[in-house]
Amino acid sequence: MSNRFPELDEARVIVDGVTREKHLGVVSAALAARGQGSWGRGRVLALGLVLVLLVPVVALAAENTVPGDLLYPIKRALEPIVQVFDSDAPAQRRVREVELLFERDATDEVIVWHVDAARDVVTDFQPTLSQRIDRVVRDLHIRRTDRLVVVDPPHEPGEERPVKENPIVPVDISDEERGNDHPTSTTSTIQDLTSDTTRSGDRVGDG
Amino acid sequence: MSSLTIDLPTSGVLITGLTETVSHPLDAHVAGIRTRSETAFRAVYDATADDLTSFAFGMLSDRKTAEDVVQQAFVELVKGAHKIKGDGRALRAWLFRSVRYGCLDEYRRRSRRPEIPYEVIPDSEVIADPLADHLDPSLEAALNELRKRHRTVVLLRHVVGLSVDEIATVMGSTRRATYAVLSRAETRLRNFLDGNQEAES
Repeated sequence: MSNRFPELDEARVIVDGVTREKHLGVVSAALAARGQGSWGRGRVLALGLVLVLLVPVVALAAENTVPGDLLYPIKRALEPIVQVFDSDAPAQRRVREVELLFERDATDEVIVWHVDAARDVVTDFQPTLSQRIDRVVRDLHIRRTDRLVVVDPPHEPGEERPVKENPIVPVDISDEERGNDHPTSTTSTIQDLTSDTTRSGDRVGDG
Repeated sequence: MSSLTIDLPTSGVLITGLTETVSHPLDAHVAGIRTRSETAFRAVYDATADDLTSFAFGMLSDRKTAEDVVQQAFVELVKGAHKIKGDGRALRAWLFRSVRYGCLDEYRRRSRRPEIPYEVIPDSEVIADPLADHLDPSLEAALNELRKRHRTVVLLRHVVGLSVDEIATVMGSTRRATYAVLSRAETRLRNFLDGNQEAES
């Protein structure tokens, strides 16, 4: 240390014991508070981060769920939020669920129950959605009819084909009736189902 | 390896050479400070409190306020312990920088709320405080004549005994600039001190 300014030696002080203990006590308290605080903040931050990352992932995973799936309640819980941005979302989702149930080969009772639920939310101003529901109904009846088809009993080659019990009588229907126009009402659905049954019978007869 | 610089402020001659790295007494406590070990904080306090308080006392001319500033510097160290980088020298420089900022804050506080002269307060209301030490009026007057930057470097150099490199680190400046400021500050302080002595005589 330079001694060019001996006058400045007066500024040189030594911390006494009382002050030292006071300062170290404050430091200890700050360390204790800091330790608790940082842990608390760390937990809150970690939890917040997990939630921020988890919510979109779960919401995305729940998007294609159907009733009975584990994440389906989350899909329904988040629906009001989605509805804010898209008012048609509930109706679209119910219809999509019906389609998915059919694709996943759910039982007829389950599909019918959810068809009714979908019809409750689809309005008259959503003809496309109504058509999609009707298409599922028609496909459901086709599937039901297909499962009722009687398999031919075994017979030797050249032998006369045995007479089937309860044969399905083929009915001639026009192409227009077979066409791809989907019914828009329950009445037309029933009519289509009749023709679908006939088509199934055709297939059996051809085989 | 590190650069060791010997500075001779009086003659203005600089001799620079390379020597083996010299460890600093605080090196052993830096890791403990980063992990907020109370033992490390106690050790660093014991190693630096006198120097820090002397520096703050020279800056503020009030021992009690100086001790408060030092205490606050250690509280700040607790908060920013994880940000401390480097070795013991860096830690020491960080503490002096923190005390310096604390002193500058105190200057600003005083400028906003000037102290009431003792004469204004009735004698019955003045409470004797054994820690309310003040610098010698002539020395305080001389230091008050210096700019804050000049006062800082002079105190760091001649009261604490930091090297010019260490002062430059505390001031956030280059070595050359710090050396220039220190030279001017020493000259001015000497003139003021000599002037005061002549005036008193």
